Amino acid sequence: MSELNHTQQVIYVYDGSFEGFLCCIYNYYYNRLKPVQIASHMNFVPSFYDNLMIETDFEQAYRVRFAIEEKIGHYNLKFLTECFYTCLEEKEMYMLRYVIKGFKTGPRIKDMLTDNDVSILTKAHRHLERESHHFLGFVRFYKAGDVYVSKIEPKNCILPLIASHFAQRFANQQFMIYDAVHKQAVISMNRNYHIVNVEDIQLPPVSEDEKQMQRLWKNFYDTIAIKERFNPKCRMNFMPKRVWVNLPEMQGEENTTNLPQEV
Amino acid sequence: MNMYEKLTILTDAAKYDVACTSSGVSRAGNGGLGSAAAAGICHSWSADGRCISLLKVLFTNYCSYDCAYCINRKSNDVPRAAFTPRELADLTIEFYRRNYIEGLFISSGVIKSPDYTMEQMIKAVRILREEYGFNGYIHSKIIPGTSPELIEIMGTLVDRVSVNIELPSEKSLNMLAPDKSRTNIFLPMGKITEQKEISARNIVRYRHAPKFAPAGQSTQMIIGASNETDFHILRLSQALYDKYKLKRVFFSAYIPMNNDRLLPSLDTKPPLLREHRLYQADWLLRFYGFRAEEILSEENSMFNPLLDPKCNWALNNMHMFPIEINTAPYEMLLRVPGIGVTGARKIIRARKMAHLDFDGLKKLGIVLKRAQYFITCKGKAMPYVTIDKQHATLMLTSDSAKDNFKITAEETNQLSFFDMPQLNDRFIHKQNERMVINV
Repeated sequence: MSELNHTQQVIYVYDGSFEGFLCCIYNYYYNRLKPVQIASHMNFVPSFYDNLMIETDFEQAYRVRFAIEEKIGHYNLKFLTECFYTCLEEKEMYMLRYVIKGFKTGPRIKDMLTDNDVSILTKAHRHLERESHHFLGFVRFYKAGDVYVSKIEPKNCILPLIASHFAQRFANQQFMIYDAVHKQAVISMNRNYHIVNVEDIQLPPVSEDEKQMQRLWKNFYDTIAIKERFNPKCRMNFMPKRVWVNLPEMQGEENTTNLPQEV
Repeated sequence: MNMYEKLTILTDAAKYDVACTSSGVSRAGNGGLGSAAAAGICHSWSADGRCISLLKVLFTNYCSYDCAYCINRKSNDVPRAAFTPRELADLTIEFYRRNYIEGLFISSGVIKSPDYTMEQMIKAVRILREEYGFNGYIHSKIIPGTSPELIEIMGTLVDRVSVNIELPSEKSLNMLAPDKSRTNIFLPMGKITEQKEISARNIVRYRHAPKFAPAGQSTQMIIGASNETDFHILRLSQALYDKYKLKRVFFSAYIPMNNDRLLPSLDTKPPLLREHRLYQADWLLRFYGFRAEEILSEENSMFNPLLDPKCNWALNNMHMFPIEINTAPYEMLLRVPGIGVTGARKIIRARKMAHLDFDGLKKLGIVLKRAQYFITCKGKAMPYVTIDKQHATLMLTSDSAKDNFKITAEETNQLSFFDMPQLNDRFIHKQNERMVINV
């Protein structure tokens, strides 16, 4: 594709889906309008710039996806798909520039780590991967009837990355993981899982039996620590305070950096 | 006794066991309950900053042995309890279903005989694996002196087995753990290595041959209860990796629990910095291609409290530096303090696309704090940095003195116990002063 002569600057407004974003790329190349910002209509704030509403067209999205896979490679398509789940601000612009450079450079774009856009996207992606891995451990279920329920509040949109792990690990139990930040939930039954968008949800209460189990777990948690090695700063590095709220073992835990009295 | 009290006693008794890793085996779910991830998954971190991955408990803390360093020795008056195999299996399942844990870590005090104890542990693991179809991670201790037949059975049921070597030398072992012996420990260890090799051969021939401890074996030893040098300990771990193909050697800083004339006094602080240095060196052995003899020597047999082992090595081998980031081979990049496996790989990837300068390195996420004294980019050192042993030593020790200030001051006692130079804050200040004047 030859260098385009963009004259007018606009804000692209799309529907917030990955397909919608692919259509933004399509528009970049075929409408010759250079975006200063790409905003999903959820977080779009009107400004001096003109906006261009991007209609999601699956035919266009398919063509862009195909072109990326052909010219920049399967790895980078997967990379970009996952970058879309990150909490990076203005991720769409970084991703657009990544694609533009990718069409010029080819699959080796992923190694251009000294390039600003590549470097920032790679770091955001790494953050997403790390958070997904941590939440494989931080998800806590409680039993409500036949269903195991969990609530998480991650920074990135990690459910698409972690759902399959839980679906195969807990193949013979029904469960639901609710992401309260991104208003998403994964619901799984017999190894089949679906990710659904949920607006408002009332989670079932924690039963008395379940509280008993949580007390048993907290008891284990408190006992396993060695007082002589008390190191809350180290704990905080691995398990930041924002995840404590959904961990039963951390309820009533104080954010203290002092030694407990008895030591 | 209810479950709550039992769990408290048997967790409390197990907490000094170090290993809580769940890595080394990748197993997809089989439609039932459980799977295992190669990287291991930590589920929580306790107040001491150690990760909680497995339900780490003793099967029982009744014990017929009298090891001087151990909280559960028979001459101690502590509350005792024992799980039944079913209780332990049920608890594991309940915790696992709630994603509290990655699996089970089972160890035990010695009741009646090593064989009897192992049989009880095997019962619990059998219920989990065969009755409940549990497919998650299990780590089992092997009691020293267990017969080979039982090791064989346990090995095919669990993912990782470990025999503790407890202390770094036979002399200390005889003195502090009179009921355990070198042969009792190394015989099972050798048996496990041998069994793993047989199993690896069988799997080539028969697809469904049982896997023996797919996540390998590990061991642990107590640091600071006896007077071995760091060099001795490091060489021992190296030999264990070479000879017994161990996956990990764990070190545990000695925490005084018993008053015994053979042991350091009760007010001894656990030697945490020393433990930390040993782990750093252990990493150098396993991932960086170092040999123990490069890191320490007979004459210089203890770690420098102010410098990590890699910095220490680099400063003593200044003739190999600086290295050029854009041309150095992977093995040399790995030897630069501050550049690890991930960093070295990133450099290799990125320099194929463009020449790297210091800004580029920062974009890659390489931390230059230590590396700057050992590298050049496009033939130039970092601005205001001279590549010189004296300069680098000065900068690195004053940095690390700041970092380690608290920990070294706290551990003054522990270090002096091993005839280390007396390190208190006055010493560090003086040292810094002197160095500043030198410049």
